[in-house]
This record gives sequence, C-alpha cells and structure tokens, in this order.
Amino acid sequence: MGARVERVKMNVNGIDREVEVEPWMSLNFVLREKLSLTGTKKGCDTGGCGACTVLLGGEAVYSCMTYAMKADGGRVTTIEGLGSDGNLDLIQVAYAEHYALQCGYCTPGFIMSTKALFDANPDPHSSETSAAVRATRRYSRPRSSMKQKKRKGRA
Amino acid sequence: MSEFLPKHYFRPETASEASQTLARYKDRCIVIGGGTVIYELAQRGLLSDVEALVDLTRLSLDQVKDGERFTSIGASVSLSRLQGSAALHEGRLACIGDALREIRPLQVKNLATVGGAVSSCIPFFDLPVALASVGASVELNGPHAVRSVPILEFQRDFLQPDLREGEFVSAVLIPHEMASRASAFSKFALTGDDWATVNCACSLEIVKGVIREARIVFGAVASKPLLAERCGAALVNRRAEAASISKADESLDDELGEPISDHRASSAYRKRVAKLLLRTTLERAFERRGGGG
Repeated sequence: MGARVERVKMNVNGIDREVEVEPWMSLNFVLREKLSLTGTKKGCDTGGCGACTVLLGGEAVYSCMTYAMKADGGRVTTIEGLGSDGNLDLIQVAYAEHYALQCGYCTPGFIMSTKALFDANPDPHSSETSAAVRATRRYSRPRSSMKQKKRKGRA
Repeated sequence: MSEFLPKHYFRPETASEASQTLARYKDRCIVIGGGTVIYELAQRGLLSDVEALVDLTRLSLDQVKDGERFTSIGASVSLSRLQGSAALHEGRLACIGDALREIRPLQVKNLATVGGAVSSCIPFFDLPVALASVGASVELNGPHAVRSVPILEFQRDFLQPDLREGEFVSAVLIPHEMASRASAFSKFALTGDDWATVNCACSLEIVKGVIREARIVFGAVASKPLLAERCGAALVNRRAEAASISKADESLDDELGEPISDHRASSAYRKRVAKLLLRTTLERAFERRGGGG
C-alpha cells in the first residue's frame, strides 16, 4: 500500500498554496519540487550546513529536516519572498555590496538566517551575527554585510 | 541504508485518540515533536520499520505553566520558546538556561521540542542532563492513566524510554523548590554545533553558605545521564566555595566507571574532561549564589 497523501495548506511568500504531501516529504522537497521555488538549496541534508534555511512562522528552520506536514497552516518565507516591487531587500543589497556571496550556493541560507536575526532584533550583538552564519571565522564578508544592514536598517 | 517512508501522518485531536493510535501501531509508529531527532535517526537507517508518525501539535501541549507543586513544560514547547520563557527569568533554573544556550544551531532549536529531547533518550543531549539535575519528572499520558516518572528512570537506556503501550510524553515537571537552587550546566563539544563529548549539570541547596544537598549529573559518559551520587554527597555540609570541590572530585573516577569510547573521544579522555567540567560547573553555581546562600 502506498503512502497516504495529505493536502497541506501553507502561505508561501504571501501566497496561499495547497499541495499534496506524503508523510516522508521535507519542506525543502515541497518547496523545490512541488512549488518550483529552487532558490532554497539542499546542501548537506544532515542539518549541518544551513544552506536550506527558510522562515517558518518567522523563525529560521532547516527546510531539509522540517517535515512538510509541520508547515501545514504555516507561513513560509523563502529567498524568493524577500524584497518588493522588483527591489532587493536591504540584506540582499548589503550582501551584494560586500561581495559576501561566497560561491553562491548557500547564500540564500545565509540571507534567510540574517533575515530572521534582524526581524527578531534590529540591533543584534556581534556574537549573534556570528552565530547566524555559523563557522563564522571563515565568513567575514557575510558578517560585514550584516553590519551594513544594521546601520542602514536604523536609518 | 533502509529508506524511511512512513505511510501515515496522524494528528490526533485528543489525548485519548493519540493513545489509541500509538497502541494500534505499537513499534511501527513514533511520536513526532519538531521532527529533528526523527530526521537524524531516519538518516541513519534506524526507522525503516516505522509506518506512522503521530504529531501531537493539536493537543495544546505547547505551554509552560506553574501548577501547585511543579512548573510544567508541555511536550510541544520548542527549545527556543523554553529559552525565552518566564520560568527561566531572573536566574531561575539557571542550569536549564545554560543548557539551552549550548544547544545549536538556532534553526534546530526553533523546531526541536522538549518532549522530543527527553523521549528520544540520546545520551549526548544537553537538556535531559540539566533537567535531571533539578529532579525533573516526565509526565506520561496513557490510555487509562497519567503517571509521572523521574527522568533518570524514564530514560532507561540508549533510545529506550520507559513508555508503555499507548503512552506518550505530555510534559516535563520541575518541582518549584528547585527554581531557587544555585545551578549550572557546562558542556565540552568538538565544534560549536556538535553534540556533547561530555556535559555536566549541578543543582545545589545552599543554606547560609553551606551546601545542604547537591545533585550532580553527567551526560555523554554512559548510555543515559549519570547521577553522581557520591560526588554530590561529598559536598554536603561543606561550604559553597572552590576549596570544597576537591572532595567531590575524589569519588568521581570510581563513580564514572568506564565512560563510553567512540569517534568523539576515548573513555580516558572523557574522564579527564568530566573532571574539568565538574569544577567549572560547581564554580559557576557557587558564583551565582556568591557562596553565601
């Protein structure tokens, strides 16, 4: 017998969506394969790298280890949901200006972690900005982007 | 590796419905809290027999409440939410606050639940060790009754909770008198996000600068958290100051026995780390009480 398919409703980037989900499916799988939102990446798939970070109910989560059923009735924000009217979000601008993209693959994860951080606290301590991008000694540019966001966010 | 392909995802509306589902599927189902532990276990091929996930979200177990004798932390409370809860404000249950700060990354902490951290019985976790040091019990909701079991008894062994047919963890209960104890938690891990190589928590009842009771618990040294009873007893009637720590230290070697040895650390290495953590943890607890009581 195959898996029972459930209809899951979620608001993704401000749009109400309804998708058919099987119990094993991750939010990452649903976003990428069912909703074609491929901005969210699948990285290590072991809850370690952060490339798949999205916001669920405004909180940063790993979409690879979030079962899609847990997002039923929830509000999901992906990298495609940032910015408005064709303009980049301030965080994206800061990352671009500081050339903080690295190879680009996990940049959406960096940016979504940064988004959650600044939404919760517009004036984060440097230890919090470091924690947000993990392995921070290697990531000085994302950190300097956050400093810029902090300055401009205040303006 | 066997694939994890559950066929059903149940979201019971009542505790009774949850128990019936768990009783019907027995070992072929598992309760899902945030899902992060399930994901880890599934990745390791340990859940290939699981046919159904039972999500308790609709049971309203997402509150931290003060009852007559206990602070009750609902099983569905996320670790992030617990960290921000009033139950931990103003230095109360400081060892739990310490443990939650040590759990990373935030993306996991936003999903992972208290029920999952406790019922998964993974000996490298931080929260169960801190909870054990403040004498927490686990509230179990079953088909016919609700019972509570001390966490150190509930966690019988690696991945082995004391759950009877149809039972699930509904809350963790912390006695009110523990909130005012001087407590602390420390952890040694190989990286900022890793599970503990060794962790340690203590809670101390200090009266006029003298220790009246001490609960010292170590994690990641055995297949479940270890209450170092002799270590704690050695501190009783001694002053809450650094000079007393050597007394607790004396029995530690013997009490730890032969800690587990794995890819993170050898048994001997864990023993050395445990000794250092004992000192760090007690000193931190003494500082919080200023040694004055």
